[in-house]
Amino acid sequence: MQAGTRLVVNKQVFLDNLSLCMQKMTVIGPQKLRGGEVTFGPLRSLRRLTLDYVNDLDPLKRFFLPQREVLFAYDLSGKKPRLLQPEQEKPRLLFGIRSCDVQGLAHMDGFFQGACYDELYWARRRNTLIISMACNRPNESCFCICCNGGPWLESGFDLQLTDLGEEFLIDIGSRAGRVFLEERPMPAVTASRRHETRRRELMEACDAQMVPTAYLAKACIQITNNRVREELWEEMGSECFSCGGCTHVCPCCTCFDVVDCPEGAKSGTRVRCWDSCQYSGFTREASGHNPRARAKERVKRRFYHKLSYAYIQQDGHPGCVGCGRCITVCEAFGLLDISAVVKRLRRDGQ
Amino acid sequence: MLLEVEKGVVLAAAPQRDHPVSRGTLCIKGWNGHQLIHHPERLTQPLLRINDCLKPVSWNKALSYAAQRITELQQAHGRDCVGVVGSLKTVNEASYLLGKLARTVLHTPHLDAPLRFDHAPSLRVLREQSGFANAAAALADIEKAGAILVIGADAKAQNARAGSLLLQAAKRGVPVIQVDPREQEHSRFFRLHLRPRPGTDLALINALSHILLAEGWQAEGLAGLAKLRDDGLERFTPAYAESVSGIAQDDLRSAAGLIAKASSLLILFGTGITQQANGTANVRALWNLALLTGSIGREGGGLLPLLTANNSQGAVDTGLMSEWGPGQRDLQETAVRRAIEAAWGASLPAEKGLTLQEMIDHAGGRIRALYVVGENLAWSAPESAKTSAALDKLDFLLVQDLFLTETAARADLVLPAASFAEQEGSYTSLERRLQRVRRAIAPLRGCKPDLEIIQLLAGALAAPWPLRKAEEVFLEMQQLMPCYGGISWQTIGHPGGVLWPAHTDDEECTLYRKLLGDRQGAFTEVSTGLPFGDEPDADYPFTLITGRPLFHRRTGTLVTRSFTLDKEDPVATIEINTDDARALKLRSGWPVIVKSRRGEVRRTVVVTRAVPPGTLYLPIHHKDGLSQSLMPSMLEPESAIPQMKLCAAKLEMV
Repeated sequence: MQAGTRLVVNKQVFLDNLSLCMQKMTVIGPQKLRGGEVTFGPLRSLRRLTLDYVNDLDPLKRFFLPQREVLFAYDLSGKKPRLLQPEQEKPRLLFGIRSCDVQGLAHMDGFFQGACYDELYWARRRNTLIISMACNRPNESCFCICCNGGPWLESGFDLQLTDLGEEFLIDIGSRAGRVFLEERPMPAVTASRRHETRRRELMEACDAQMVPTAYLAKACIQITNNRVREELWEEMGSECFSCGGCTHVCPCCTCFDVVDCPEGAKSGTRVRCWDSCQYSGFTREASGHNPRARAKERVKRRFYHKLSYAYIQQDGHPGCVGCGRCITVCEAFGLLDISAVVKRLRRDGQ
Repeated sequence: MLLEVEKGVVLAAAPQRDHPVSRGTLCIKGWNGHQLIHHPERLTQPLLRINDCLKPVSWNKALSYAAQRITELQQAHGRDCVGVVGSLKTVNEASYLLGKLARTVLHTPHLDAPLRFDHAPSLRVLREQSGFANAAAALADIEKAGAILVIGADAKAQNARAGSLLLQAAKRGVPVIQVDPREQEHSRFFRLHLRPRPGTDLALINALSHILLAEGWQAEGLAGLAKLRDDGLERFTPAYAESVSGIAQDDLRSAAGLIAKASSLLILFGTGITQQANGTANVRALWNLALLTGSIGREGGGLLPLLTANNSQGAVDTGLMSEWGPGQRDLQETAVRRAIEAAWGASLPAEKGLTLQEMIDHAGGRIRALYVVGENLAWSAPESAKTSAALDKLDFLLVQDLFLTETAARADLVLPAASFAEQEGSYTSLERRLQRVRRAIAPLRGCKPDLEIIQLLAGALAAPWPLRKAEEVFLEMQQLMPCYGGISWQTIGHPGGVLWPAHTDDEECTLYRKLLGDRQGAFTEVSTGLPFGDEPDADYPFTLITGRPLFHRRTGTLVTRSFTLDKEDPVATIEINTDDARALKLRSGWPVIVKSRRGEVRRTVVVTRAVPPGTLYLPIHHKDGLSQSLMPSMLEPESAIPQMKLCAAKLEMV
């Protein structure tokens, strides 16, 4: 089998193999909660797995950059100070992740390598096999087609599955993905023209379901050239509830804070947790001066980071994958999510 | 809200897309509040004061000591020497059993909840007029309202969900009329912003009613209009209101015009109008205004008090307020008392209990022991120095909390409670939404859920109470609470739970339609208003008002233990008008001493046009500069709420 070749595997056979993986690996997949909402979490069997789901509102970046994680613990009670590192995690398999989240991981990879190389992030990243599920059920707020975030991807995954009903059509994206298939007793056939046609039909059907749009080009020009009126930023700042929801759910947002949590004089932990550029404490300096003390400045900063050419050039793409989560979580509903802001910036220039 | 747990540790909070109220959103506190669960300052052992020092002891020793001290004091001073203060954050089942413990096992009438400090007038008036001590509207009404009056509240800061719906309504073009001396961040989006002199809301509200009546803009088919007019409303002419509140008559007429043209009027109000000398009179005036527009019981209309805590309404429903038992039933009614006594198999104390501030005032006298559950009284009660001294006068102070608060630090015994993530039970939101909270992790080692602590304490006091789970207690309390009737434990476990009363109608917002039918309720008396007892003068030339910032909640016990929230609020500030600052030669960032007739605090100046001249705005409950130390504790006469919204003050350079 070669990377780039599409294969077809019987769905039940693939899932049975996935079930066998659960003995040796932590398999994370989509599962239904009591109220019917779907969220991703560790699976012990196939019983709770669901393949009929709109994407998890809680972004899957949390499996690589948890909302709260202990970086290390220290103990000074003995003769020698002891530094306790987090335990090594079992190999993981992330099954069913949607394309937007895969694309988000690619964005995060860029941030956490190079000057900001982050060992904990990369340990998790290397430890996790990504089997994505091309999106056949977009949410009402999805617009990944505007941001090259899906519904299908060309890269970034180890395996990408397309649900054809009785079978999975598989794109192989990496050597690890190919090895995964080769090591397991899964009779695979090369995709036929019928399979490819069905794939294309599904892609078109999915595209047709996308409701919101985000025509980024004009907004990028407006922001890059600083052509947005200050009054508009002022208005958007006043609307903002500073909840930080947009940054928390954004697959491309990477900001975090590090705090020490002493437990008495002799022991404690250093903890990392998500932070948000929408919080005033995020940029406050030790002197008390805050370059972005007002919500207006913070909102402006967020969209500058997402859409200005300076960052697009650096990252290779805008800081948005079109997952639409910020549309759902924004307290100022319909006013400050990226789709709404792009529209407001575009119209403001006219 | 969902919690993500790994190996017994809560890692994250996430919103629920299918929740009918939050619809996938969380406020800044929702996203970050969970950080308190594993905060290193969490109490994990009972602490007993030995040689004036709090020392860890076992649960057995702590409970038997508590029982012994309470019994000794009751034998020496009578059973009603014990006071109990409930919490607005514990689950309904714990609140219910706490009320039962106080009224049967301790047999004391002195039981009250901190809701007394926020919305006692709102609940009193709503119960008087409708029979129900709760909101006469739901959050969904904000989306259906014809016009909205927001008075004495910053919805964005106090209840992000209400604030969000309000912003959306304003953006849709719904006329929103805001009444508040201070300009808020969302004020610019509202149709009208009336900025009365602090404490003059009564004249303003009644003037709006006066204009509606005088112009014949009232709803059709209303009875008692002549009485309403003759009962004092005729005095509240626009000219009179202008002289009192400073709001121009034309602005009052514009506001009344917007209200008259709208299909319904929804009134959102907060502590800005209740923590005043005219607290109850203000809410009565709002009731009359809503009634005049025909909005009571109508979709998109009614009164919605913005209660301040997650289970404020549950505390009322389960009987933690001094005057009402479980199901908001009046304990002075013989039939009610008999029914409760029969169900509980015990007699209830006959006399009327002291309210919260009265208990503090009588500490060391009539009240010798106080059992405080989850409330930092040393900070939440006005005149902090006096409150702390009162707590010190008690023979026995028992505090149940997650952290060693300023109140717990003064206690003789502290019991470590479990957080919301560590217990089962139910909460009732400000719109009567009954929902389950599920245990995400086991209680931290050494901590116990409130429900268990209360039952263990009852056992230590020799009450034959078996240790029961939340579901069993829920079934028992339902028997005494008609308002929770017909609601199953399973149903409240669904996302969004149930809006009670579910047994009469499962459609939202129908409580008042069912209750009042066509008759719409009756007008209530028009109070002439009381003078505010702490007027500015030459020595204290400013009127100081307080309010709560966005990232704050109650006394801050929980939010200051979330490092993300705590860093949002690093500096204790005071806002002053630009002209006043110029006259006093003050600049933003300078430290000042704020003095009232009761105390002083040090704060950092923020110069702004958001507050009117002659007014100072003080964000409450900051750990550096305790706001309540300035505020008066004198009681509003009808609802016994301390008049702690405003006071006379002056500024001095450091």
